[in-house]
Amino acid sequence: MTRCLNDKKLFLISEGEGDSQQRSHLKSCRSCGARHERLAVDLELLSKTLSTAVPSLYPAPLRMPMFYRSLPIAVALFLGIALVWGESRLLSPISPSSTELIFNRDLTQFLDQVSDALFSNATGKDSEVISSDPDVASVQAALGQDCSNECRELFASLDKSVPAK
Amino acid sequence: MPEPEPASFEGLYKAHRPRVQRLCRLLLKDSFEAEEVGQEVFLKVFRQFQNDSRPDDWSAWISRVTVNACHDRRKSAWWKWWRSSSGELQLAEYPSAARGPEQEAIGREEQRRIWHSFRVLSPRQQEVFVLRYMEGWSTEQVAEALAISNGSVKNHLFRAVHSMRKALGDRS
Repeated sequence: MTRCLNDKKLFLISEGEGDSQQRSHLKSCRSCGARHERLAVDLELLSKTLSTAVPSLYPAPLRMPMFYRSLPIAVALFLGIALVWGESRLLSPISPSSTELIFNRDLTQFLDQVSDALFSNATGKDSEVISSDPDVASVQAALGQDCSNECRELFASLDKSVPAK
Repeated sequence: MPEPEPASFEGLYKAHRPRVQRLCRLLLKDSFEAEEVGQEVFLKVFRQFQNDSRPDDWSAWISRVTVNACHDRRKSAWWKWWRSSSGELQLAEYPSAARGPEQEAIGREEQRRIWHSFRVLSPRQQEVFVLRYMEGWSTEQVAEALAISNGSVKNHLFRAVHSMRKALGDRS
């Protein structure tokens, strides 16, 4: 007596394989015969179902996987934009911002005023002192006690040179 | 003996289009994809039709081209990446026109299980199953079309049938 056939052997017999011993067992064994018949019925059912009714199939809407799948694209897009922006920043000439411009303008004005104050007082003083009496007096008053002897003499000479009003 | 093939491309298209569409929809995951690949197949048919060396058996030739086109589509890296995590497939309505008394008897739940078990088979198992049991090819013809050995075809077939029957469960 031979042992019952396993599923693979039964399947291969249905595909036209199997030796004579297996075939004779299949004929004599009621259990194997029933399984073999069942296999034939199942095969017919499977092929008929798949061939006659093809349902519309579509991927189930899954939000999270779609989000995760879109992440690499988003990251690549972001990196691309950052790269283009960085490159444009490097290639473009350095232009100061508006606050820097305002600061520079104020600084320039301040320095101009300081230099005017310093040099106009030093150079224009003589001519103005000579030309106008109140100015000489104001300079004298401003220097006051700190004025050295030479300065006093200079003022004295100036007083003499300016005619009395 | 095979039926005489239509003499014009239009005749070929009309005769084989439903079968090509069905094959594509079996082997690919959505109907849009199937439509696209079906058009590619008929483009190849058109080119072959213009050639002097036309195949003797258009039906077999078209089946082989269709299965290979679906195989190529599934192998493409972009398609693989996009579809790999698309998750479960939902079955839309079954075409009511195709439902005969037998289909009614099978039952919707059983159909769903059969379809799902078919979908989870490996691509090669699907191809072998379709060509052997739905196109009615011999295992030798399947082996030749897919460029694999006859033993390999039988192994793929057995695994496919085994897992699909397992999904069907005990129906006694």
